Amino acid sequence: MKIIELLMMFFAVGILFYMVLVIVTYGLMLFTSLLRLRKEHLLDKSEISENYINSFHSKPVSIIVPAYNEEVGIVDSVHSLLSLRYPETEIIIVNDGSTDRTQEILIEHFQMKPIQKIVRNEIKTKEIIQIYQSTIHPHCLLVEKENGGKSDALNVGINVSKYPYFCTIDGDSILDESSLLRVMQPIILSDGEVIAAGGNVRIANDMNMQLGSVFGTNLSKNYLVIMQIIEYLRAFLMGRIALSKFNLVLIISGAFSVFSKKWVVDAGGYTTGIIGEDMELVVRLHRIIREKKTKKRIEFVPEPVCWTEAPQSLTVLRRQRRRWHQGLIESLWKHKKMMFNPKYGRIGLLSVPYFLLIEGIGPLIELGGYIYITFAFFQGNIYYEIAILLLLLFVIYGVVFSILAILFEAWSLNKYPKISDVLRMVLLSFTEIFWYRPITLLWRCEGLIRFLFKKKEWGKMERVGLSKKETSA
Amino acid sequence: MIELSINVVLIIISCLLFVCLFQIIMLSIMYKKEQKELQKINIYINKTEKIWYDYLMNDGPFTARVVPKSLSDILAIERIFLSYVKNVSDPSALKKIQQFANDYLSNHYESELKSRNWARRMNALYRIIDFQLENQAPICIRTSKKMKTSKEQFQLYKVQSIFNKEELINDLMDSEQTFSEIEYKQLFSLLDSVLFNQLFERFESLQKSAQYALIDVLPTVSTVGTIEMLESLLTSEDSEIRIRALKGIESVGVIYNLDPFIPFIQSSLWEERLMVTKIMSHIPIHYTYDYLKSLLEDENWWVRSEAAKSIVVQKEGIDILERFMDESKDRYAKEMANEVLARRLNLI
Repeated sequence: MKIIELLMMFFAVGILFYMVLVIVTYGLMLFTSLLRLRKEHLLDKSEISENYINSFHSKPVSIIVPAYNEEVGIVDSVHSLLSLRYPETEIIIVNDGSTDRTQEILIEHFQMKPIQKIVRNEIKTKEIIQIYQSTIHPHCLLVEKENGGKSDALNVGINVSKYPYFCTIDGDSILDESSLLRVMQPIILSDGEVIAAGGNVRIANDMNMQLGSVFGTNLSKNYLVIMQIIEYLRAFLMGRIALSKFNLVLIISGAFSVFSKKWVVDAGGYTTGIIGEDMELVVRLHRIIREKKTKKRIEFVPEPVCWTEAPQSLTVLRRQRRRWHQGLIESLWKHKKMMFNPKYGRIGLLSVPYFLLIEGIGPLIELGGYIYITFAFFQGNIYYEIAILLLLLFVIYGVVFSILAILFEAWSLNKYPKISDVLRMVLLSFTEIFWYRPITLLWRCEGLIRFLFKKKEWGKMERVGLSKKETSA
Repeated sequence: MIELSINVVLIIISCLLFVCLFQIIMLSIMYKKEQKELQKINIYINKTEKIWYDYLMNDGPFTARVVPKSLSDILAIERIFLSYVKNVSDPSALKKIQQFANDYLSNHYESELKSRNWARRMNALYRIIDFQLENQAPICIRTSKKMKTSKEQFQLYKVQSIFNKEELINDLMDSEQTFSEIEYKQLFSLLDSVLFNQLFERFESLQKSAQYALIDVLPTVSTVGTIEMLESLLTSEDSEIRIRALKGIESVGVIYNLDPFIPFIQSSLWEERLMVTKIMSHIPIHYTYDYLKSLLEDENWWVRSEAAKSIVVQKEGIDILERFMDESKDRYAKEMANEVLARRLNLI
């Protein structure tokens, strides 16, 4: 009996320490983010993008859209790319052997004609079947290729691209017209010191969207979607801004990011056959930066630039989260050499350990905490008190931080959102630790297990489409 | 011990929740305030939109009704003016905006420039440039010591490049502040040709990023001797300067003499070979064919591609390229020639 008690105590103290560490880390990151947001709170940001659009100096960008069975959202997505304000772009849609009508819809809608084009195979990929060019928008190309997965499609896009920077965007994402200018801003302003930049992705469910433009912002009525919005805000305020400030970003969303082609080609392009290809590439770039001893940076752009559709059902969300987590662990495992390795500077000593210990195996420890609390309430005495303490820490971590993220976000936006929407989100945050957090923890642990058993799955999200027309159809 | 910890955590949670509650209240107040402010701005815009249009675009009379009486009026005028400044190029309308802003908005921007808030100072600088507030320029320079951030400094130089061009070059030389290329380009593109020549004379004393920016802006400035200036940089030790100079010459597209470019055909840097290949598209083919033929067989893909393009744009380019495909034994060169040819024939 004594041994069990001791084990329980050891387990409880371990979780308590872990929770304190997590809370302090997130608290520091929130504080760092707030300092930046406070400084830029009243700044007229439209003026910044105006300056660049007027100048002829911006670097041309190839926009790569990998598409696999994206017949629902692809036309809207390409329209939003066509309406981007940027001096020089080309749009390369890579159809990765879709089995639906993605290709036919694109050919029909943009009047695509087959063209002859020699492609320089800087990265080894699956065969290209045919390249099409739009007769209405000559800078818009469609590449038909054998199915090889998202990474392979992106690599084909890189080979076909002609500009020094390329931008990746998911087939279902919608951009603001100034998105590319904003995300290219750190690259241009740093004279090439920044070699990759990612934009802030927002959830667009229930927003009024037509032909690739956001016409109004309404908060979704689906609780699952609202919880994901809160989660995105947390990740943004308690992670990306602070990590970016110290060049520690390991995740820039694949939904919308820009890379220097030279660096990515030198790194060998996207790795095929893994799940988190976008994160893995960023980790690899950081690794190469350190190995080459150069002063390059990877940055996160805090302004919301990309809208995406969040899963609306538990089944799809489960698949997404499982996949994300498996991808995260895979990327970190592939570069485990960097962990606590001073050769990789802050990335090796802070960033990789943070992502592994807090983001990676955190769910396992947190889930252990939930199990402990449930167990302790049946045991009473000392267990009971530790359980209360743990529960309170969960409240800080889950509830209070979420509310703070919602409120600071509402404050930092120059246009104040509807107070009723803010209150709805705040009230929902109080329920987070009782349902949303435990179920997502379970799914993330599932991802961890799948990584251990090397399970491969190409999770496909079922989309309903963001456009009004499509939603009502 | 655990009980104590529970109490401490409870206190922390209470404090944090209190902060949240306070913030919700503040947000509600700010939301209401903003709604009211927006309403006032919209009222002003609706009331004066037509008057402004007549005054600015149709030479209508100026009426005292448009003179701002409150902060919301100023914000409304800002919105109206910005929509004209960003979308209209009529000099007389822009002059009237400048005049009005100088007369009625100066005090507002003067106080904004003195604000302790960085973003408000920045916004004021943006507006001073947008509305060409000439009488704010001396104030900007006076308060410039307080504006220490790089972003503010850059806006101040921009103000100077509009209103005090003569001093800009000296100030840039004396300054320890370094800007990015794009920022230098923005500053330099506002200079006239005389000042531009003066700046070029001091090329060697400029920061590296300023040197690169100057070369890039040079072809866009209509000044006498652009080609000579660019050619003088071809002997630089910095390969980046040489490549940019070649690029500049290519974009101007006027070539008097092929000789300065011949050494670059054998350059070890493919970027230099690429640029010289592009330059050759502006020279009649009978002077350049031998060089282009060797460049078509270059080890670099981009150089081969550009060489084929430089041939095909010429008068007899299609025949020459077809002949080359029959004669050449280089598979890659032939493939490239074939693609460029096919694309050209499709266009025709």
